[in-house]
Amino acid sequence: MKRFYTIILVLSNLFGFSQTDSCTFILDGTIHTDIEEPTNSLQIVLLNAQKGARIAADGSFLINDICKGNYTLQIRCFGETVQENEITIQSDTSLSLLLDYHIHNLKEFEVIIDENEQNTFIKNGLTPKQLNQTRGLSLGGMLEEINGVRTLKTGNSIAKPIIHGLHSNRVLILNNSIRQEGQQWGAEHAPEIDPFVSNSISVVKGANSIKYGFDAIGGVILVEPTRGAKTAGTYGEVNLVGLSNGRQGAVSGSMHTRLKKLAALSLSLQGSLKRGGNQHTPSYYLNNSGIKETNFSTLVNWEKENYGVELFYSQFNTDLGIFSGSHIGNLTDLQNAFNLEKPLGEDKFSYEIDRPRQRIEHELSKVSMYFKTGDIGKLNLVYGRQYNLRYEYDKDQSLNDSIANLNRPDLQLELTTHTVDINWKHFAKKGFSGEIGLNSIYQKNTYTGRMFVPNFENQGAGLFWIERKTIKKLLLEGGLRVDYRRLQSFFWENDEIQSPTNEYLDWAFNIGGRYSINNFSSIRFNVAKTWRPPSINELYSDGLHHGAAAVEIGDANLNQEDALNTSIEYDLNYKWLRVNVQPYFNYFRNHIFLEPQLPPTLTIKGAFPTFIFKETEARIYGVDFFAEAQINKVFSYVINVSLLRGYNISLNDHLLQMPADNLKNRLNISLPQCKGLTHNEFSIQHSFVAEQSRVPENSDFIAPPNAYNLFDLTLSSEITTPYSSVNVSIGVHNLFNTRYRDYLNRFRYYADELGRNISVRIKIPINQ
Amino acid sequence: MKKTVQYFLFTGLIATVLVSCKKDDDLVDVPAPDQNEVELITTFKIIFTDPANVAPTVEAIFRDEDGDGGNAPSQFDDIVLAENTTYNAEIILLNESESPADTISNEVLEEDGEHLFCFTPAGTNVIITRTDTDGTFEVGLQSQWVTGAASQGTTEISLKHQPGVKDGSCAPGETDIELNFVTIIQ
Repeated sequence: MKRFYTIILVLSNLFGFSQTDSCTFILDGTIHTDIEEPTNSLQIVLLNAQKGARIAADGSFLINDICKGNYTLQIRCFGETVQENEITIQSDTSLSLLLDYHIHNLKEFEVIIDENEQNTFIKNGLTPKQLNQTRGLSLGGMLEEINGVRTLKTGNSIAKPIIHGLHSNRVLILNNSIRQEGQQWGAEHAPEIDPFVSNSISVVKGANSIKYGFDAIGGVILVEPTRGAKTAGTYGEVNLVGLSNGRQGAVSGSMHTRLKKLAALSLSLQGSLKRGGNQHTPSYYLNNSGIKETNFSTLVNWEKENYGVELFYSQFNTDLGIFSGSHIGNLTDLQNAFNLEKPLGEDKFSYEIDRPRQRIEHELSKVSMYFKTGDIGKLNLVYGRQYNLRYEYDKDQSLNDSIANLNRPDLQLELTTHTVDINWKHFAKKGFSGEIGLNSIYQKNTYTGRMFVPNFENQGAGLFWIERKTIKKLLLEGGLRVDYRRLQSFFWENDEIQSPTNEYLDWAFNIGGRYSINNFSSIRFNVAKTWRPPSINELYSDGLHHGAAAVEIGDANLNQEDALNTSIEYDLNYKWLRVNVQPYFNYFRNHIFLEPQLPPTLTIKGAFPTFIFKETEARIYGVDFFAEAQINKVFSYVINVSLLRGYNISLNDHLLQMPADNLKNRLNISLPQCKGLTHNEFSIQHSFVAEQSRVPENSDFIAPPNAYNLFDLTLSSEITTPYSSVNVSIGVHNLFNTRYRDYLNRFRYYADELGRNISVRIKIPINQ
Repeated sequence: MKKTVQYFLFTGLIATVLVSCKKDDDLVDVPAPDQNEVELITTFKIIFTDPANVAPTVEAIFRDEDGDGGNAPSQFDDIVLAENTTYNAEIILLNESESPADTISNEVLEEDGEHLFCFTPAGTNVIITRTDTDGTFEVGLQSQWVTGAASQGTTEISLKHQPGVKDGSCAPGETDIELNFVTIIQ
């Protein structure tokens, strides 16, 4: 099962008849679902009654001969419990179950809202099992579990997701529904989000829904914080992660509470700490590659049937050591570094983080409200404020001691963003359900120290309208959007402040559909037109990109990017077999890329390869393939294959930095239960990444690395204690300590990838 | 226990919200003054003097006033030396973007234990030896150039910054200067 949902239980029509000491009660009802899988993958189970029922294709279910009493009701998807609630059966009971992300007050007895959150677009989420097994990794690291998602890395601490070959400004990250804004144009700027805050991390591949944003050409990543308890009480979770490589430890704790007397109010508090030292390749330590992270978040939610308010605050603070072998002086140094068997410098373990290093602080404050507008719809208002601070400390300190002692960062960037979003969803009326909305943004960026991008003020507003309708077996969605952006930059030129303005206005649309072929297969398609204004570095960067040993020059006259995305998904879910095939084809009428330029730039440090941001016609297409076979009760096999081709049409050459073809497969072995240890599973995973032979000419100093194979082992279990069930998983990544380099890791110029890494993950739920 | 936890949560929540909220005090429409990297080296000068006072003093300058990016270097001289002569060479580094110009080579001299100049002639008849020392290793701010017969080639002069890793060789450290001077001996 690929997705994680929250199912709410809404009780309706409790019949008042009671029959004492009788075991003839019936529990029936319907599931109103907009899930991508056919409903017969769902089961409803009354745990202590040892009774259950399959959910029919139309969503209905029936369990009879139930005795009066208290039971634990479970909703299971492919045998995995996704929702559990307490229920009392005193008479015949009818339930109406809905899929929704909001948790409603259980005391309400009416069917609350038919949130027709049907998806015509392809959305993949991390399953609870995947979440458990990747905890402690960065967001980018965790997202690699999703087929079709790769990462652009700068060492192991900095990882940015790449969806279908696109990243940075082309991939939108929604952190609690707020656009994550934080110098994301930088390839070495990782998303400043703590994945521990969330149990719901999903990816929309491609520009398939204009409701998230007009510029998300590559896709959208949705991170939703874990929200409060459904019933009165307090519960929480503690996660402990230990990784041998880098001797990294992470601990995260969360607590959610809902008061009995004030059932509408729920509170959550979450925090996490991470600390790691120098990481290790199979042959040497990566000097100064430590990490320190301190994050926390708080959430206050007041939820009534007709309205609700939520306040959310989160802080993300990290110190990252930049591997000292990667901060080279000039091209000669870089070429020497590449030819070395082992990087120069120290080769030992330490937790110390020295220069060169980065320090990032990201703060998000969010206030959101919703109101039911009669019976026809729901209005949402969201205000978000983000503050992103980025310090970069270069390797060399000032030669002047008194200045050096001040220990100032060489570059400081501060980005403050305010967003206001208003949308109104209307429920099914004559079969049509949809939403209209307004998104607005204001942000200001300032820098101190060496300039790479100038100060700027960015303002924008967008209006969108989406409608969905089900016609027999076909669900159709159409969306239209228009956006305006105004970017004003401020910089010095010949002792005068220049303040040029760039304005953009354009529309975007998407048309998608989902057709249920039969009970076990469906097909989705989506066509979208999107655009993206050039980002600040594409317009105004002018200088040496430290650490990249290249001069990058922007072009203030660049036009916006225009893209047409098309994708199809075929999904089959039949008995023991699941197959999912997603071919896609994206055409860029205008795609901004870095074109090498001769002659190299001459500076006192030597000659540097020079690149200019240019526009071109391009296409990126490929296919993501997934299959899972439940061979028998013990063995299951999963295979993921991703193929991608990116082509620069105007230059008749390949696109730079496109992910190579890759294959991942895994054999899962279900081990028998033994006292206290349940859900025991052992798995062996193999991944193969091909050599990226399709690269443009003269765009790189060094040829892409060879293909490689990696093997991982995982053993997981659930330990039943009288207190709660503790999830434990032990894994070995890169079992054979293989030496390899990956094309998408900037550090491939200087060092190998990480060697063997043994991980221990413990999840302790806390219930009261 | 339950109540205590809930009270703790409430306090925690209020505390965190009060402690938070960072902000940017800079003005967006008044950018920070054009602050070059503190030790921007805009000018590299090498001065050759003949201790025998036979050949005239020669100077070769590389100058890039605005550093990386921006305008191209404004001056990049050739090194032109008389044949069969022994010269004493001195290197001076300046930051001419400041007024008065800052003599960076003084700071390199102060931190001579972390710096090394490397000379690599190619296709030209000259033998170069460093003549100064930091106490343990050579530095290269002062060097001796012995020219042979007339020829034309290049000499690569680089400055390596080797904090903690200086071993007398040109391998370790980061390159702060790398200039390939056309070298003519006539």
